[in-house]
Amino acid sequence: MKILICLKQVPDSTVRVKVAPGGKDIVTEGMTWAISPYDEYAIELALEVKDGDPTTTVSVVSVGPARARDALRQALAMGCDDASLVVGEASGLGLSRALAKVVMEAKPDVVLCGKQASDDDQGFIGPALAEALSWPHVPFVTKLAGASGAVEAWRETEGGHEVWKASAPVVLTVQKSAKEPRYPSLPGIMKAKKKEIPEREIVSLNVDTSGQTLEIASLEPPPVRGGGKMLKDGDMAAIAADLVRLLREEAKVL
Amino acid sequence: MKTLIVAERKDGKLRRVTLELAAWAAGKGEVEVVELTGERFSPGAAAQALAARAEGAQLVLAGATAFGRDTGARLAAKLGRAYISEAMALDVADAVTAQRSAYAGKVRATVRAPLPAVVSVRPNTFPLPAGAKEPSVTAIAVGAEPGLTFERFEAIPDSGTGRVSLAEARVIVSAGRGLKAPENWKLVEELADVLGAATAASRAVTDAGWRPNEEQVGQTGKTVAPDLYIALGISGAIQHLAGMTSSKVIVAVNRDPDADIFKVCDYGIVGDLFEFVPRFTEAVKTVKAQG
Amino acid sequence: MPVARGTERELADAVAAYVATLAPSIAAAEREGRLPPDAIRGLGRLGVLGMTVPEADGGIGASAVAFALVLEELSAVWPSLAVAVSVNSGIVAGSIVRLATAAQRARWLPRLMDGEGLASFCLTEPSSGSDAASLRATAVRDSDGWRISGEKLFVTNARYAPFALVLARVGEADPARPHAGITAFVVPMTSNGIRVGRSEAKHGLLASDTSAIVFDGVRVGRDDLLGEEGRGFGAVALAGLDSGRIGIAAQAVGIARGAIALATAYAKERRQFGRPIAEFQSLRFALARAAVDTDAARLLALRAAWSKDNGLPFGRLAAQAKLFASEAANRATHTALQVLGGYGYLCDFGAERLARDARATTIYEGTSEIQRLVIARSLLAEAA
Repeated sequence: MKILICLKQVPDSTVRVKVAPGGKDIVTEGMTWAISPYDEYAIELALEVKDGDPTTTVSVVSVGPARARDALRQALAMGCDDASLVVGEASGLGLSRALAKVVMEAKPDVVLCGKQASDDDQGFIGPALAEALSWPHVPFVTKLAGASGAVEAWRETEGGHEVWKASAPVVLTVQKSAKEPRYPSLPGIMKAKKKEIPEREIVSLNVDTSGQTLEIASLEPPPVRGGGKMLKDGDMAAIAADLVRLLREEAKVL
Repeated sequence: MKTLIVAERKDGKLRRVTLELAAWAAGKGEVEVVELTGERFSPGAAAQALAARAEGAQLVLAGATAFGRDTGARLAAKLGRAYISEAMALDVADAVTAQRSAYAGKVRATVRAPLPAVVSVRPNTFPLPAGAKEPSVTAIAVGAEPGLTFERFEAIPDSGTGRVSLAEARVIVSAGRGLKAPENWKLVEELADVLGAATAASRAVTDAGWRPNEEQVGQTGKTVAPDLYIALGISGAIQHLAGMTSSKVIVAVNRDPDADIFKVCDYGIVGDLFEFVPRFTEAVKTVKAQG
Repeated sequence: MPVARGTERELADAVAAYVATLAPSIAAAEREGRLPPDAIRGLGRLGVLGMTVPEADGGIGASAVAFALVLEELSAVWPSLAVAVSVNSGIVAGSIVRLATAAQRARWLPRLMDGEGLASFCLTEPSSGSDAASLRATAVRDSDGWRISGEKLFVTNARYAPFALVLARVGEADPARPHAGITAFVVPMTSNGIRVGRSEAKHGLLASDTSAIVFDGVRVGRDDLLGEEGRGFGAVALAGLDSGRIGIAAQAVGIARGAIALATAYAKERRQFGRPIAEFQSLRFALARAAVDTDAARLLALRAAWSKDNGLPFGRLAAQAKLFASEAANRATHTALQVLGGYGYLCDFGAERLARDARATTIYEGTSEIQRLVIARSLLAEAA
């Protein structure tokens, strides 16, 4: 099976994100970047298929700034076979068209995208890419199994999983799964060092990267909370009764 | 302006978020509420079925549920329209302006898109006036999508089904590592039962396999904003906070007085959750019984 | 100057990310006195155990600088694990890579890397430490092989070793030529006649298994001989010593760093007299001292490793690094324990564990006194 993963480099999940002066962007200076978490789960799903069937190839592609090369390198170190970078900025429909062009050239059986990138958190690109390709897509996939010319995908829904059979080609958007993404192994890191990551400019794709995108009116830190009341008078039973009273009378949420 | 609302049903009843959307749209011009019917369909098939109706609507709204988010995204792409996902506040004039969370909850963004547009809206964003009339709903049948076949459903035993869904819950009882062992989950459930709440967990708990992933709140889990979020034995890692600080009221119970969760809570209790929770459950029961 | 960037830093970061996941299992493993098999398997999967093995043999052939950085990372979180790895992938893997035939490498190296166990090194005996002349274990000719007998002490990894690298003397001891006859063998731990004694109760490094092994006429063949007969002491013990000292220096740096991290985090959080204790000058001075000490120790260790990578003499550099880093680690852990005050003295807070673990670093692989002698000897020889 031939799998292509579209990945995005985003601020590392463990770092604080600060809004830049002007309120249109975040502070990127000194930022620690990482593969978007759901894309990491996508890599893990793909590599598990490869573990079971060594003829499977796993490719990764990213459209973004030059620094996204580090994220691709990380994906190679985790065990992906090859990576390529499209340098340029695009979002929304324009980005989905750019990715569709890359996909059509690579001709994979399965395209995986994280269900959303942990920057804009829109969850648009996977479905939009499927639409641009006129392929079906299965969302919220947590498990993947290869079958001849087809895949089985487990779609998380309320209370369980729908199992869908998809004949290739298909786009799957990936949800967090029980299996944590693997760490790059040391041999993986050494091998990744030796691999070329071909790079091209987005204009060379010859696609229209304009299209309806969201205008960011402002970014702000989430509302500051705090100044909460610490309840400590009396024993636990008294505190419990006090909390019930406050939730009813003061906060009015009970 | 015409607004098209994509309705959702659970257990035969319209979901609360659908009612919220309908109540908000009422009085803002023409409103059509449609419901997709059919067994287990894909977002591509759903978008296909909706496309013709959506063509004539300036604004398409869906609840920001798993279904609504994906269907909305695919529909917007199909129609070449702007898409806003998980709006937490919405204002429509010449353009649509929405508030949403970004960077996994660490940033609040105000975004603007030209009309026509497709927006998925978080449950609890709009008030549902008491006695709001149930909208009339047009059914649209959804067919199969070429290349995809639904095979079977695998239920997660002991998942929170039967309870209100996490995304729509007004009250959430959530537990973390402080719960110590999976058998202590019943404490959480007993409290959730008397509150009519959904149950949730921190990543430590889902990673340990004590609870299914779908109950995880925080980055790589769900972002929630209920009226009341009760955090039991949750230390408050930045990733968890990102998923719940938009809650209206937060109650935190933790043994560690320095736990970060206390920095965001409205009411904090430093102490043993095993002592606190049963007493709190009893106290809630008592007042509920009094009405 | 030693460098640590690019690949070497990345390898170390990957190990740091892994070892951080082990943190929750440390307390229990230290109590039980053994490393969890899963932790060792994880190291195997990650490729840490094959770091010092050349690519041609299935490893990654990383530099000494990279190995030192990795030992520092392991040690910053869990010194017991670092010790176990440094024996397996340091002295044992290093000796096999240097001395073994192609057939032996193919037989032994995979088992050093697979994570199913960690190999042991058997040198020290009840009456013999750094002094080769008093080594008593014997290898007596037996048709085309030998029978090994003797008692070895302070054997790291004894309980989970697939095999042990053993030094035993062929023929009679000769006080005039103390190394004479000492021969290196690789002995499978499943061999008849091997008895592993009880795990020693130690002051620190509790999860690192240290036991005695008794060899009672253990039969080994020609295939099990490592290098040349009679040259084991020079080719294994002495040749491995200098590299081993870089490893201990790196461990000590890791311990010191771990201690400083605990102390600074606590100092910022703990409030006394209305402000965080980090604002008190006496505490700041102590932390600054520990930070400078640790960085100096790291530079010494990396310089020794870099010299080794570049084919330069590094014996004295390794001794300097080991001496300074081990004593710096003891000072830093002492500081951390003091900063944490009463909590520092409690087992749940980690500072006392690092202090106990640091204590070993001034002792094994040559005590501080031995290092001073080595350094002085080199210094005086230079001046001559």
